Amino acid sequence: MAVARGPDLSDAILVQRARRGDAAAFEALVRRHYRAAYAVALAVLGNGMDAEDVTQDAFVRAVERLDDVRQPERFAAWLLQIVRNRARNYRGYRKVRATRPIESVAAASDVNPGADTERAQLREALESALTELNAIQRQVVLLHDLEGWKHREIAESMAISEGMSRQHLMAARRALRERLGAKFLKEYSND
Amino acid sequence: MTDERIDLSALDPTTDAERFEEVVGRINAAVAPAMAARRAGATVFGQVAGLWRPLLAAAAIAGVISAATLALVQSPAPENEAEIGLAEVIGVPQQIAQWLRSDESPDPSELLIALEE
Repeated sequence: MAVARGPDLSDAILVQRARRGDAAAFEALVRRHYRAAYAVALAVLGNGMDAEDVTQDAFVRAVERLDDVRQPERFAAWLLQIVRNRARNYRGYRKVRATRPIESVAAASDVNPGADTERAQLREALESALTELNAIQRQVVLLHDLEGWKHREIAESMAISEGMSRQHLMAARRALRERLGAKFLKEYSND
Repeated sequence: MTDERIDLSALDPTTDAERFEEVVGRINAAVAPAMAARRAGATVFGQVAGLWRPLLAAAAIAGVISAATLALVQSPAPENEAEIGLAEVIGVPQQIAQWLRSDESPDPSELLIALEE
């Protein structure tokens, strides 16, 4: 079978190929959209490990429902809606079980704990600070500052206006700075 | 100040390349059966199999419609039409044909009149 190589192909073509069972095409979609999907899951759940589980689950669900994608060129928005729904369901389920301590999360995900201690601490601080924001602010700031989406894309994905996206982003950044302080934050001037 | 980007790269799940490859591998493994099923469905046989049920349903509907239409338009043949047989068709006078079909036998004068007609 002809193998699709992701970077050069549009989402629409990759979706079309994945529908025919082209595993490489679907893998390209996973690699392209994993970070955005993870960002949304993290925004809903506030926990890295849970977000990872839900993101993987959402991709599996996406394959099962691939024929439902009406606008393949808007695959990302469609995928993120699945992620949101799965994350909300998971959050409901999680309420009935104990939450994993964040220290164990960091330990489980670190291949080299000694070298990555600083990074793990920063991740822990960021995850903790994100819990101070509301779910919409978390999604906006993660999609914008982690994934690099434009306000137009965020607004379309979340069914809000671009103006609201900007407002949520400013509020989220302000809250994160207040919570974290300057020592954790590396800022870029070219936004 | 607040409109400047915050560095959230510590939360980036793809930064740890080794771990990210593990994640992609897990997703690939999880979706492998579904992708295999899609490949099977994409073959000629798969498409024929996929079309089989709709075709069968369409054929059944066409059969029902045909039967109903035939039942509606079919009318009984006229009674006199039933009396016309092969003899009439090939030119034998009707009276003689009736004698041939019945046990009745004409007398010579009747036969002569019928032939003259």
